[in-house]
Amino acid sequence: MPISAISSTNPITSIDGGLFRTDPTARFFEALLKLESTSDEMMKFQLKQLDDVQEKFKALAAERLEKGTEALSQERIANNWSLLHKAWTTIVSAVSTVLGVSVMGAPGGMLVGGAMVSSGILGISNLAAKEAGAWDWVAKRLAADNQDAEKRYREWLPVAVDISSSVIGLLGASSALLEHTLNLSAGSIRAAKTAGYFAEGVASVAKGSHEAEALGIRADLKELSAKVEVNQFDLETVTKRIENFSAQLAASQSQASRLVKQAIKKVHV
Amino acid sequence: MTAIVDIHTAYETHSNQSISNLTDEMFAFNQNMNTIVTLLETLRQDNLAGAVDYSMSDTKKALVDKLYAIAPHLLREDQAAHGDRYRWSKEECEILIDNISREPERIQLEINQVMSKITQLYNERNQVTDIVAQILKEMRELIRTFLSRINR
Repeated sequence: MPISAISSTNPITSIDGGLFRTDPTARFFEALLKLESTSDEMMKFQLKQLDDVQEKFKALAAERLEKGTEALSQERIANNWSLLHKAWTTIVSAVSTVLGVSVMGAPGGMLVGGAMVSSGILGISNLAAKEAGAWDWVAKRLAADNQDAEKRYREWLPVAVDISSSVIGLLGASSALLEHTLNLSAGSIRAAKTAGYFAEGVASVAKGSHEAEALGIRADLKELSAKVEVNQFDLETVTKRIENFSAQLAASQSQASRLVKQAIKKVHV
Repeated sequence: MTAIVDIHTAYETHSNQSISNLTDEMFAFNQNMNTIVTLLETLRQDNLAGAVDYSMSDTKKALVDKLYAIAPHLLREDQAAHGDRYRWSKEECEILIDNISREPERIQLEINQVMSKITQLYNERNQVTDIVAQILKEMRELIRTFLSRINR
């Protein structure tokens, strides 16, 4: 029986000072009443805390869903660019290497040709390395038994090489446009190759940037999952705390109820 | 017979004093719990907006001081995290609220212990009163028997 149920018909509530104030039993009942009201307030606060945690939980779940959808969409875009990139890489890298070698022979073409060769070799190597799973091997060596680092290397190495290759290729191609530094025979072929470099570069950068975006979102998702786990723990903690507090309160109330009954019995005797 | 009544009265006075002292403890616990609930409510409300700074409010500072007087271990934990006892970042404040939220359970446990002691005292008092009443009843019977023998 809650203390308030007993107290509602008990005149002790209206006593403020006077003779009964000094009566130990009356004072004890007064203390019980005050404690019950404070405990009620505490319980209300704990329930608010539970509401807060649940609200946070809902917000995190919604954010996770949104990020998940975004990551999927970015990965799909990156896959589309990847197909285009693979086609361009095989054609353009080969042409780049050949053309680069020929440019190197032209007056002032050493740097430009070198860039083209590097870009071509890098492009082919990266494609080959990815297909052969060679980056996994490199990542493993670089990470030296650190699993997190190994995963990071495996994800980022091909992206980094792709971007480097494209930038080098684009630099070489841009320079190739400055016709007065070069002395090549077939202008039309050169123009086609240059366009090829740009297309490959754009495809590669687009693919790289979408992959990077997807990677970033995946990292956000991991962080979100960690937050959800923390929140889950908070939820369990608050629930457990409310359970314990309720149990203590119930014990206190049953003890108070027994005492009050005892006191009432005594008064009737 | 008067001696028995006197002893019983002395015992009741002593028992009343013990109950009164324990009740004082309950009032103190209630005050502590009140401080905690008020501070928790205030912190929760202010924490919703972000970082919390009570250094400019004497009322809130007094509330924090009261809390640290009730639970000194909270001050130690809190000051280990940062130097200022009236200022918290949003995250620090969340941790503080969590730490304070553990206190009511502890206080409630102490209240229950005090209530057990009071229950014990009341039981003991009832038993003593019953025994005294029994003795007085027996003595009355004895006197009645004695008087009836004399009158015979």
